[in-house]
Formats: sequence, C-alpha cells, structure tokens
Amino acid sequence: MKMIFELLSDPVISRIIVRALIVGAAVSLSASVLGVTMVLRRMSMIGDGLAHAGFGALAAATLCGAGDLKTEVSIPIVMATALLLMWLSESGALGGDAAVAVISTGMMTAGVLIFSFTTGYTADMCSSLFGSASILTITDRDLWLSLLLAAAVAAFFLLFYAKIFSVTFDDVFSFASGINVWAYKLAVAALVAVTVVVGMKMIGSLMISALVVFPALTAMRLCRSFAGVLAVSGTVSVLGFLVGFAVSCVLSLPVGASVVAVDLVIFAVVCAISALRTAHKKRLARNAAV
Amino acid sequence: MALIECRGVTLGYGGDVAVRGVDMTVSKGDYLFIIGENGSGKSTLVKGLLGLISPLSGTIRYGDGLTRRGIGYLPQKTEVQRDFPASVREVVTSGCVSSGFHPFYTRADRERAHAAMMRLHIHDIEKKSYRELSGGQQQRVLLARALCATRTLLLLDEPATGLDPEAASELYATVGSLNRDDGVTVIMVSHDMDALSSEAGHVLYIGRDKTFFGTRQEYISSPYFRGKAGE
Repeated sequence: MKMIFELLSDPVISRIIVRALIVGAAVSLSASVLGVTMVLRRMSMIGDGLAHAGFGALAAATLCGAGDLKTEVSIPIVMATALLLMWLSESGALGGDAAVAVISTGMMTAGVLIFSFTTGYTADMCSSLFGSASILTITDRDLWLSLLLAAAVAAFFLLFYAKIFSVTFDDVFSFASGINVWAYKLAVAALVAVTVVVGMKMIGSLMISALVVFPALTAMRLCRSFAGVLAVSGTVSVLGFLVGFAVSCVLSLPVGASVVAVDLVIFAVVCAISALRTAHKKRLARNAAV
Repeated sequence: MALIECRGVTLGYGGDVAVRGVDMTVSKGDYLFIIGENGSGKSTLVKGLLGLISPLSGTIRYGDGLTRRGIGYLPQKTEVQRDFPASVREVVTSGCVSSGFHPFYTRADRERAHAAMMRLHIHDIEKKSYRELSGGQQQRVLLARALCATRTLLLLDEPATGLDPEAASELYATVGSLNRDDGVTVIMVSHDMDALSSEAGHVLYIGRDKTFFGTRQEYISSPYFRGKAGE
C-alpha cells in the first residue's frame, strides 16, 4: 500500500494515472448512456458486433500504415460497419442477428489475418483484444478524443432527449409523428462506433460491449423511469470503472477485465436484491390473501 | 371537404398487393370501423393512411385542416415496450414530440399531457412505471399519448389485442365517449366482428379480393356481414 502512495506522489506517474482515469470515465459514461437505448431497442448484439469490428478496423488501420493515427483511421471504418449492420438487421437480409454474427466474426478474422501477416502476434494485438496491460500507452490524443466523445454524447442526449425517448419507446409512433427515426438510430450507432474504438485500447475489443450492456441492465432493474435509468446507468458505469481501475492497480490485473468484473458483480448483486424483493412481495400478497 | 379521402387506393410491398381498390371518406366526427380477417391487409392500409408507405395506385388526400402528421395513432403493442422502464407521464408526454427542433417539452406540452391523463383517468398513476400496469391501463396510457398528438383524428390498430373481455369493452366505451362527447374522429381497426359497436357510423370491410364501404346499417344488410359472402 505504502508503495502505491509513493508512486502516486511522483508527478509523471500521477499524470499518467489521471489521464487514464479521465479516458476511462469518459468512455464508461458514453457507453452506458448509449447502452440504455441499445439494450431497450434490442440492439445489444449490434454493440457487440461493432466491438469486434473495431478489432478488424484497427488491424486494417495498422496495415495502411496509419501508425499513431490508427484510432482516428479506425473510426470511419467502424462507423461504416455500424451503418451496414443497422441496414442488415432492419431489412432482415441474412436474418437479423445472423447478419451481426457474420460481420463481427468476419471482421475479427480479417483482423487476426492482417496482424499475423504484418506485425505478428504482438503486444499491440493483445492490447486491442484484451485491453492494455499497462496504462502507459494512453496518449494525450486518446484523452482529447475521449473528452470529445463524452461531450458529443452529452450534447446529443440533452438536445434531443424528447425525440430519443420517443424513438426508443415506439419507433412506429415516432415515424408517424414525423420524426426522422433512421437519423436517430444511425446517430446512436455512430456514437457507439466511436465509443468502441476509443475505449478499445484500454478495455479491449472483446470486453468493451460489456460497458454498453451491464450498466444499462443494472439501471433498468433499479429505476422505473427512462430519465432515472439514464442517470443511474451513467453513475453506475463511472463508479464501476473507478473501482475496477483501483482494483487493477492494486492487484496488477488488466484494467479491462477488472472493470467488467466489477460491473458484473454490481449487476449480479442488483439482480439478487430485486429477486429477493419480488419474492418478499409475493409472500406478503399471499399472506394478505390468506 | 372530408378529413381523409381514399380513391382507388391499392397498397403493398414491392410487387405484392396487400389491399386493392379502397374507396372511402372519413369526415369530421365520424366513427369508422375497419374490419377484415387476419392477413387481409388492414395493417398495410393503416401504414398507408399514416404515410409510412405510399400507394401503388390511387390517391389518399387529407383535408379539413388534417395533415398526415396530425393523426393520433395507437399502434399495436411491441416487444420493446413489455419491460420498458418509463413512467406513465413520460410515455404520455412523448405524444407531444413533433418533427421541429425542441430540445425539451414546453409548458404547453406538459399541460396537454396533463389534460389527456385527466381525460382518461390515469393522472393518479402518472408516476407509476408503464411496465407494471395492467394491459387495459397500458392501452389507456397509449391512448392518452395519441390524444397528445392530435385533437382531430384517432387511428387505433387492434387496440383490444391481449386484453380480457372486460378491459376490452371498457376501452371501446372510452373510445366511443371520446367520439361522442369530445368530437374526436375515430378510425378503429379490428378483426373482431363482435367489436363492431353501435358507436360505429361507417364500416370499411376488407375482404380477400373485394372491399366494401358504407354505413353500419348498409354493412349489416350486405353480403359481407359476418363473412356471409364467402359461404
């Protein structure tokens, strides 16, 4: 413990840690808020597919020699994949979820092949899949990208809150009211695409979709209103990240897996509590009936 | 001028025709009952009236101050809504959204939502979660949302699906009273012959290859009543 405090007092190390904390919190917040609409609209698998596509996109960017700019190059590729996935799942071509499976495994395969042809199975590939083992690799550019992403997500939800609710709850009614439903669905998918790419470096592409799904599911069990679910999902996600990050530092575990494990524990606890509460209510009702 | 006027409307997807040659008019204060068996193309006609799909041939015209966007629509229930965490108030108020740019609901929107909840007697459960309500209550909430979207015309697509008979007849009574007492024009779509209430002034029957439009009396004495034409 003492060693950790000594490390934290080092200005260089504390700067690295603060940078990682900001990137992680921004990504967690964006993923969890977008996750609420994704989960409710039954689009969780699209989020997962995009996360896998992110790995392929990163490999392609490396192949193109994007170097330090590979995150920026990956973003449009994943966004294009988001568009394709949305179109395939809405049009029913290839049968909805099968389309997601085809694209996500296809992009993963492309990624693995590209990596083995170019750099080989390196630390680079490992960190894209499982998240970085060390937070040293997070750059200032990652910091700015993640802040930009969080600002974009916040602005989207604040400016279009009423319409986002309407489209999420009932897209046919919204369409009939003259709302451009497609534009909203695409905006959500595009923002998820950016979240996936920005968050992949720290969390890893195999686990980043957990940040989209778990906090939203936890919040749905705790809250009765849409506004409440959004607020709780964001809070739970950022808290989960902070705890997971601390755990990973103390036990020297990978950040991504630690954060997802904490999210999973929170979800399990909330599920258990709500199951107990339901059972208790049933028992009370039965006793009242007798 | 009528609110809605359909002349020779044929609708379908791609090359497949679902409804052929619909002629009908809906005027202010009418109660139109659209009846037809499952798969007869009722839902396609609803999509056409809402402008979600364009007719393959024929014309649908809106008049008397009604626009396509001014229709208060009560869609069939979806899988998404079954476990959706939203308060009654949130759902009803969402009926006020329009295509313009308004980040938040205005005071007028909130007042309109409140009035709709009062009218349908759900104001005392406005803080409850939609997913915890009974089927009948959920339909009341969606009806209130539709009232927020319109003052003129309600279009209800199989609203009694999944309701027990008591809740269904209560819903029909509410819709009838909105038509009678509040002057709201109603288009009710159903496959349930028994639901043809005395409130309905006109009937549009959609058969496999023939449609019939007339007053309730004309329909009852026509060969299409209770599927007699097919026997």
